[in-house]
Amino acid sequence: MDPGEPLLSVVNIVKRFGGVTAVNRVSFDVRAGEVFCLVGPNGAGKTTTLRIIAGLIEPDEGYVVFEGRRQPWGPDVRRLIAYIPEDAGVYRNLTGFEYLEIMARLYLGERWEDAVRRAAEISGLGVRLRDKIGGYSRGMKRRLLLAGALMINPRLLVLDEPTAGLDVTHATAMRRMILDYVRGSGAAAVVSSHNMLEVSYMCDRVSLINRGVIVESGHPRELLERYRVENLEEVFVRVTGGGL
Amino acid sequence: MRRLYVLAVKEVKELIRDRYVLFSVILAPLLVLPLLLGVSYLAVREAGGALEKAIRELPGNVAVVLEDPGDEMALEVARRLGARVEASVEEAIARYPAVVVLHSNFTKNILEGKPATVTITSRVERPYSLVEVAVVTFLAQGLRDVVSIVLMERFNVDPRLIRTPVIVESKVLYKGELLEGSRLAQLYILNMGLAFIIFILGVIALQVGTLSMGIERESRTLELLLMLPISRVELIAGKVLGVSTISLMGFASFLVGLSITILLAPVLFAEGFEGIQQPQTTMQWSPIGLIEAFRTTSVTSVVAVVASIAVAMISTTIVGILVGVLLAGDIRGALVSGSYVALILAIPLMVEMMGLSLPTPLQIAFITSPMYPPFKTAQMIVFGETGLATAYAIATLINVTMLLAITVLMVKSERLIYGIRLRKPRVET
Repeated sequence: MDPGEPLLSVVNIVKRFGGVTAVNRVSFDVRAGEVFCLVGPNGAGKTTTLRIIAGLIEPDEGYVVFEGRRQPWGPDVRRLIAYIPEDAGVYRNLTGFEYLEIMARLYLGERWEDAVRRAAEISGLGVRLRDKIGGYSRGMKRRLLLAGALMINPRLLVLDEPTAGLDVTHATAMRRMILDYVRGSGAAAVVSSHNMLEVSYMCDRVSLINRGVIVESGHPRELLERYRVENLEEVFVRVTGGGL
Repeated sequence: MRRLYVLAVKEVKELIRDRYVLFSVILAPLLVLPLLLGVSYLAVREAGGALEKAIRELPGNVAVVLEDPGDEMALEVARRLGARVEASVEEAIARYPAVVVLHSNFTKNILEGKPATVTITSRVERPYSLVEVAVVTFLAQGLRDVVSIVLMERFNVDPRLIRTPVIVESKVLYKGELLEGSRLAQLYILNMGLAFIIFILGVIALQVGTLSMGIERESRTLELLLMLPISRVELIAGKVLGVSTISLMGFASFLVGLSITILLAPVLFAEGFEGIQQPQTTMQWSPIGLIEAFRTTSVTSVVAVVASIAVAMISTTIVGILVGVLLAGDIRGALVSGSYVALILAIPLMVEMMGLSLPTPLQIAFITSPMYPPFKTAQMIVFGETGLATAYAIATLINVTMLLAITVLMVKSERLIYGIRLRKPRVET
């Protein structure tokens, strides 16, 4: 892959469900070391776009290229992508350690032990990792899932609403984990969010999506300047005319 | 009243539109019993017809060998049986399905209060068939009745005064080998045991397979699973392996429970039910009897039985996973729909457990049941019907291949995430 080429390219993807077009000609590039955010209200097409990027569903039109390879990807490429859905659940009867071990063995084979140690440290869950995940709070579950995703050293992180429903402490910890990883590893992250504060805090570039269509893109600060407003929410209202 | 009506309408609409409710509350209960009744009726009707015909033709189909050709009562019994008198068993059995040997001192023994002895040698083709086993049993009982009638009519002796007028020893000629009558019971039990094992294990495997999908859906772990860097075939294989382990544990647990029950029942009911003695039958079975029956079969048969059990369990697990994909939105849906589907698919096994066979059209219809063709393959190998065994083995192979192909197609991310919907897909963006 050329060093100047984007790590991920989403090209004109379209996804329809029955008569409804959930994603309509969405295109964007993401470069290594970058956190790219898809911002929009509920039902805007964020989850469908991320599922297409993760390779879980196929677009009706368009395509996705990752590290110069076009979908569909085999296990060798999927191994480089970590996806955490918004409503991702956990195996309630496994302990945190058991979950990390299973994931590490599946992704890394023989080199699993170091990864689990690293994930245990990243998660910050300490001795609670010995408990069954069923007894964890929502924030703990999300931290475990993220630690499990990061321990495999993915080249691309696909995170759907990573901090939705979390309190300030857990949300801050999650954002720090994501940023530290992307900056430190040179990987990229595609993050969906409807939390404009979160977007300002962690996104290098942002695309606003509404009714399946990308309506505006740019650096958060650049967008604020372009529309001469105080925050991204106002940008969104200006771009969409306030309607959903 | 109006509010009550609105609430009731909400309840009905919400429930009736649920795929799980539609299947497990409306469709499955509507199907299960009529289907079981219909299949059993057809199987029993066919077996009944065959049994009636065999019994009707029995008098002309029995030969009698008299050890003492001058024995008065033996001659009378032979006459009443409507049987032809032949010189030797070896010659007669080649031409008649059953040969009755009335041993010497027949009259003398009975009149002295000692039991007379009779040996019935029956030619058996299918020891797993209730019809053939019933004919052998019927002949033995019929012979006892004839002796009683002769005692009363010709010798004016009340047979009730003689404790055991006649001892009937049954022998079976099966595949050119002369076996003891008890061996026939053992072979019959072997068939019943095989059907029983596949039935129980199949029901457990199907339920666990469905449940595993229900748990994945309810826990929302499917997407994590689908993201793993493994192929869909590996994913299914891993699930099947895990589910099979749990199913085997479930089956072992069931066997332990069954053994405890069988061991305790005679102790608890030693004096019968409220003093009523249960009649003794030769067809009672126990795990030890079953092990003994398996032990005495050939190595090929044992291998066939083990392989068929494994294939049945794996195919049933795959069907369970498929049912889970189709019907299980959560754990409760998985449990109920899994149980009903297992019951429907196990109907032919229930029929086989009774020693009955499905009429041919139903055999073809149930060829898609994951439990039936593997069972039939093992059954035919155990009972030496090579041609049919091959046919059923091919059917099993086609079945498993089709199942795997369907599962790989069905276990597609999109279907698993959005589910397979009866109505227009819900948009989840």
